[in-house]
Amino acid sequence: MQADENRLIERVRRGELAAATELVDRFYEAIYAYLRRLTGNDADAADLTQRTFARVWPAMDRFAGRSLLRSWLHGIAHHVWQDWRRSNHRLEARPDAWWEACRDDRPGPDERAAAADLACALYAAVDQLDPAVRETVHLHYYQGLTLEETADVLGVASSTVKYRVRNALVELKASVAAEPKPPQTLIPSRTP
Amino acid sequence: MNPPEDEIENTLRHVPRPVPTPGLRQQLINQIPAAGAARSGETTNGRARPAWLLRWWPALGLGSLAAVSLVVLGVQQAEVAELRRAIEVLSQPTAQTAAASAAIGPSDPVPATVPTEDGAAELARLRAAVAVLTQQVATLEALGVENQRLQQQLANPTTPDGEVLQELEKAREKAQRIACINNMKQMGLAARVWATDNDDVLPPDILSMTNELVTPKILICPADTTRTVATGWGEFGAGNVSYEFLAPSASETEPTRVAFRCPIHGSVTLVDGSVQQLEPQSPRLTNVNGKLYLGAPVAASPSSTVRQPGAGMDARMRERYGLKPADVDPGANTGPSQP
Repeated sequence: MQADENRLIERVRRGELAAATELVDRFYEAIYAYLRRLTGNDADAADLTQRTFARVWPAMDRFAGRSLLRSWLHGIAHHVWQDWRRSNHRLEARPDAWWEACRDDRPGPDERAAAADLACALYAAVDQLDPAVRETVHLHYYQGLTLEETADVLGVASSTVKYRVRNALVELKASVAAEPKPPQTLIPSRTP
Repeated sequence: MNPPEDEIENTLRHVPRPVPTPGLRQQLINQIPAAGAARSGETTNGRARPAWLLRWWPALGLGSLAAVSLVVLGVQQAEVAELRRAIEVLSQPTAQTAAASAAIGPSDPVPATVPTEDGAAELARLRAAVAVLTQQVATLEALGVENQRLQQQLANPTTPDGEVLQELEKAREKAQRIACINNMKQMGLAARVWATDNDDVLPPDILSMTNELVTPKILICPADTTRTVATGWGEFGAGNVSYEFLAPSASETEPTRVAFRCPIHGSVTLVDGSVQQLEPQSPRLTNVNGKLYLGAPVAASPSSTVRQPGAGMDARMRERYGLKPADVDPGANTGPSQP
């Protein structure tokens, strides 16, 4: 897989349009899914995906191959999202009217199977996590990156990622438990 | 609902994947740079710079700078050598004068004497020179006195007074306390990292967390002069640790319980990893059933983020994960979750 990626990268550097198209086809859905879950709407996610790939082409010469292409692309997407968030696009500042417009009139989750209840509760609980822990969950579980790849994207040590994953599981388990158990006091993680 | 952790992880890994908007793929392909301009885009006179130049220009720049510096240094050395030769030649006036005198034979006319009107000017010039030299002599004498005084100071260095020594001692103690707190913080972190892999229970002894501690140096308090740093974990013993480990195999559900204590400074590290600066025998510590706590023993408070499952968050969750109203059930596997 690494050799295959290296060949693809060399072809892209030589300017082969077919190779660049192949790279887009391999990764754009995953990058879009990552940004869509973070931004919360299609338009912003599509815009950020385009910005991500716009940065990929000029930076391809500087990609030294020390990490997988997947984690490198996620790293670029992560920085694009952080830049977008800093420019006053805060997801938390949604007015009530916005949420009202998204109301779902179908039967609520109580009428669904237990697995669907758990999934709904979990995904909602992930949104309530500390930002650094939430980003770790998005990259490691939702995007399927390994612990080392997640550490590369976030620019932290693997042990820090492992610690955040552990914290996330503890918090999520406490959030979805029927009888809320006293959660353990955790050392707050530093905001990147 | 109290699912096990592996079920939670499995559910997270099978999160539904939002479908990209129509046309996004084509937009991304359209923004691919044309062939030849797919690189960094830097050009010089319409031609792209070679990649090797982009990679090696820092080294080439430094090498050029070093070469130029060497050339300049060589030129300066040559000039200095030339000046030394000129000085040596000029510093041999007697030999030149004798040679000049010998060159004046008896048949040569005797040089005429200086006219009278220039004698007054010469006298004035000599008087001015005397004044300057007198001033220089005075300056030299003052410098000589200062030099003697400094030499005496060097020969008899004065010792700092008691106040200075006291300030130095305070600064040293403060530095030792800061270093001790740093050690305790690292021990607390090592214990918590170990607990993360062992069901949230602290290690049974210090030797169990040698991987997390990295070096035995942090186990010695800087103010402890009776113990030495172990040369390696194989030689580690009771004489190589200053700190008391008071909560072996303790659970993380008692965050205010004291895990480590410095018997010299009194500082403590709690089970939650925080370090508290206390005095030895501080009244803030309480002993309950042989366990030491900071204040009254408490369990962690309930979190305010506990949510009831499915409490009206469905539409928001759907919007966040890009699920349209007719999308699949999020509880079912929707295919591979990895790209």
